[in-house]
Amino acid sequence: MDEFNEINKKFRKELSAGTTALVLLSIMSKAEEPMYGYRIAKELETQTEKLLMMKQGALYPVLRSLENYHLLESHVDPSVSGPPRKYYRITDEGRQILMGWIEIWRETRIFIDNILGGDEDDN
Amino acid sequence: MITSVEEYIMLLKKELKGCDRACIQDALSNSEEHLHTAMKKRMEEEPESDSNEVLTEVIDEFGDPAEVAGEYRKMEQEWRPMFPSVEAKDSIPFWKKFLNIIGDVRAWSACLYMLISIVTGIIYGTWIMVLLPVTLSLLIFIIGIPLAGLFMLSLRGAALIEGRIVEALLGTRMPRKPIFMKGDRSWWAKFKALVSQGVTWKAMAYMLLHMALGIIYFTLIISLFSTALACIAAPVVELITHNSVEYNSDNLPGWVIPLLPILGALILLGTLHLAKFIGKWHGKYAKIMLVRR
Repeated sequence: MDEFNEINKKFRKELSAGTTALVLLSIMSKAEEPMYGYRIAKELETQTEKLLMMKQGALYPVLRSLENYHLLESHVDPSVSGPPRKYYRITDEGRQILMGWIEIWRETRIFIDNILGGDEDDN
Repeated sequence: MITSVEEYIMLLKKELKGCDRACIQDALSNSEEHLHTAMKKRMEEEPESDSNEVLTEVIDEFGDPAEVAGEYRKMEQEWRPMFPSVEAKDSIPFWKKFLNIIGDVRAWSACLYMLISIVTGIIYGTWIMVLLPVTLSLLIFIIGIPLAGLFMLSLRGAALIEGRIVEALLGTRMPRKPIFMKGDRSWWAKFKALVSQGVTWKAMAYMLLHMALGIIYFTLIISLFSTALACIAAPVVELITHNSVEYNSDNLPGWVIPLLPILGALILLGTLHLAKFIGKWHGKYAKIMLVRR
């Protein structure tokens, strides 16, 4: 049973590895103001009703990666009472890329659903 | 079982061993900030809860040190600098490697770094030379201590900005976040941490040295570029103005003139190679001086 759990865990991890960037970019495109890591994690938790597929700690490297590719930009706000926080905001390039990613995701979903026979959900 | 955020950070640091120093600093800073914020919020919502249980829940949501370190390692492998360097392959002949530098964005960005170093160097140097004596002399009064703290904080801020410039122009991975300090620490504890952390003093030394280095870099680049451009342009100028090209007040012989643009091009290419080389070593030096171990 443990072995099955391990395999499921690995599959879940692999799936989330490819989709975390899409999910984060989507969250950031809807954000009305720049957001910092903890708030993004909480926002994700709220939107997915705690069905989060990845650990919160995995979000930070992805945020940095998106910043490296100029899809997000950031600034650090020093705070007197707490730690300095890094706030992220989506760039115009990020919005354009997101549109492409959404299209790819829809194609992938249709492909997978077709293979798995996911037409029950459409009714 | 992990019993404190500090213990988690220590374990994460162990897991990240061998990674890039800037990546480690960012990973530790992000995790420390997240875990402290999560703990604080959770304890505010449920003040009756046991702090150890809350920490276990928070870590469970955040991921254990090995998992988080794994994600950072993965990201590090995928990361490419802003201006990727054109890596010369061994199979390419020497002359081709020498010429290829003209299309190497990293060499041009290193030139830009060397040019702006005079401005940043003078700003950093002046800041330290003006404020350090003032802060030191005021230390005999009680007001001197917070002022010294602010001065050291400003150095940390400047180190962060310099790190961003180094990463963007020289391609060396540098931290993107200041070193995290727990918000609930007293002012005195924060001050002591600032004084005791070697990175504060190394940043100060870096900035003072940068004033001299900035002047050297700027002079080097301007002299070499202007010599190269002068050589390239000399025959054209001679044709247009009908003034012969002089060297130390003597007219150059006619056969030398057509060779001048070749010499200019060689100096230009050599300068780009030199700038790339300096940029590479300056990046390593900046990392040693500005990133906490």
